Amino acid sequence: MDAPEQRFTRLYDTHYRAIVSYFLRRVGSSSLAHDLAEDVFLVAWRKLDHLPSGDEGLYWLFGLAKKLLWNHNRKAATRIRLGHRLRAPGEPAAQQPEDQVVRNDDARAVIRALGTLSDADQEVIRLAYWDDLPHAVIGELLGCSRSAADVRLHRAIRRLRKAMARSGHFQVEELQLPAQKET
Amino acid sequence: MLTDEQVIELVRRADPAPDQERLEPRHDALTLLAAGDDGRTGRILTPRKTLKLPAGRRWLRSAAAFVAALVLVLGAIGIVALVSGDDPDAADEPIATTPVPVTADAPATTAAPEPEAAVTTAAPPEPSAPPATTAPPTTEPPLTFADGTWNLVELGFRASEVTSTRLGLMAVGREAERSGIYLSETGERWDLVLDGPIDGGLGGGVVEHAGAFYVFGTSDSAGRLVMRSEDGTTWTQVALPTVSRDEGVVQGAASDGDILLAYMWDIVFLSADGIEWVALDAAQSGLLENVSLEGVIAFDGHFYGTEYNDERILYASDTGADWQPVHTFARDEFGWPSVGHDGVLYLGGFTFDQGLGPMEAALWRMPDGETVERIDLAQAVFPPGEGWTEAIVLHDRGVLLSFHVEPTGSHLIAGPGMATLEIVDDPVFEGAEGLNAVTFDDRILLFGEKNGVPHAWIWTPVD
Repeated sequence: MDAPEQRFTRLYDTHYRAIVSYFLRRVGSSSLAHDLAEDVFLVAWRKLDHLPSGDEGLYWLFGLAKKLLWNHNRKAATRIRLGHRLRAPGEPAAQQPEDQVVRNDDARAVIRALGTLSDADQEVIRLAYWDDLPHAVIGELLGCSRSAADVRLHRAIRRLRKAMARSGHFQVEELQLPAQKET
Repeated sequence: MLTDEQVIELVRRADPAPDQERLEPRHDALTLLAAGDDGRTGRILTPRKTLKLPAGRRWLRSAAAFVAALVLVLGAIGIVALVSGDDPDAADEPIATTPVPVTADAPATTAAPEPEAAVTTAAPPEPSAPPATTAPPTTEPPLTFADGTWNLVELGFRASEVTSTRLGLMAVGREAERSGIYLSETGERWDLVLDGPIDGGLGGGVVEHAGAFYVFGTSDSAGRLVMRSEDGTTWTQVALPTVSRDEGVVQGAASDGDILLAYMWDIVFLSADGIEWVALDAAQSGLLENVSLEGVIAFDGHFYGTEYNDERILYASDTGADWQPVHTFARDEFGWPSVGHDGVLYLGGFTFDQGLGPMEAALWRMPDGETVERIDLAQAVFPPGEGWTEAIVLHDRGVLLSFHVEPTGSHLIAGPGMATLEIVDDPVFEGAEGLNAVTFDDRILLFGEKNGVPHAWIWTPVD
């Protein structure tokens, strides 16, 4: 049996990037994201004996991260203030080389459109396509079944699609994306 | 129009953290472990200048409070001597902290608006009480929230804070890309009195203190600051002390009449005049290191605040500088001070499972400055989901509570007392979310979003 320090180190090395990415996608501030990730792992250290192993451990960390983030954003007022102060997610943290300008322009437009959706819609999209979590885990994090998570995600994407269309930013013919399906 | 697949691809490309390999672990946690961390070690901030509290005014206030208390005691003795039978202070009995069975036909028999009244008057009459020899006086049924109307008003801005002031309602909020300060006499019509003068944003509380108004903000160029006004229309910028943390905004503020306090995570800013400020870090203030203050209110001569860490603790301070823990929540509980009334501090919050289970809204009260009791509200059981207490309103007409529950949004319960609350089933609240509350005159204003659009719900009593 590994010593607790060894188990924790392995857990930390394996999952730190996923957890700090989770926060980077939601708070937009690198410093804050690292602080919150640090809090997650401090709690994980204290609860190490109860932590599941493997992927289950990662999902447990996501659950904890969600609670810490939720508490961070708890008050609507705080959320609004932070939203203003800490910029839209992705803008400063994703300061990319100049050849990424167009991509960033698209990214900003996506994030703006995403921001017009409800918190629930935004979160299910982030969990699925940014955090790449299995839908069963998304359901667990959202407090619903896997099938309910599927439905939520499907509806959220539909609403995002409409929001992106309303923005007028995306011209299908200019995008090098998967071709539009025949209907 | 884009296909779903194209939308998903664009979403993936917009990932703000696409390259996880570039994220170097800071190994802070490992460092802390190596140092034998007990879970409380954290950043040590550089000590800053000592706060000069207005000792004279504080002493004067204490003296005034003593005299007032003496007068009250003498007055109470006089009343007791003059009045026999009905106890006018019965409403001050502490509220039951265990569930009180409420039957559908249980009438609210008291006209007293005190939240506890419904509990204390629910007790059956003494069996040995002599029969009334005279006809009982005719009493009007108590006025409740049903005796009033809700008016829904769409706001042109997202209000982050609203405060009742001598000028009316004052709000800080955002519309489009700017933030501003707004004034309203009634809550229905709002005037922008300060149009985003700084390049960071306003927020972090609206406070009236010693005759002036304060709104906290952040400037990309000047850092954290406070806007100050004595008339609500002319605002000047006051700098807050520089602190070691370069991220973060002032989260909230409160005034006890002598001290104006603002807080940002583990840092407390204090001022007597709103112009000269000092910053205290966690170590200086007696708060634990590495805490994150979650809500501070001034009530009954003290500041109360809770911190969120692995342990959730309620602190109290009579100066804003020295904080003492007064209550540690159970490991599955967390409450934050919300509103004070008649010597009782009420705390909203939630309970949760340690794992991935849902959080449920919860409510606490502290009747004596020391003991924190859980209030069990059978009525506040909503469908499973992430939930917490949003707003607590203690009004002459009774109690109004708002709870957030994911994914359905805000749910309201109201009634004459804590034991007689019922779900507010009014279509005007459909789609409501993120409700905060403020009372002004005899009206109540809830502000939040309805179907994603900023709104205010204004309750006006009808006599």
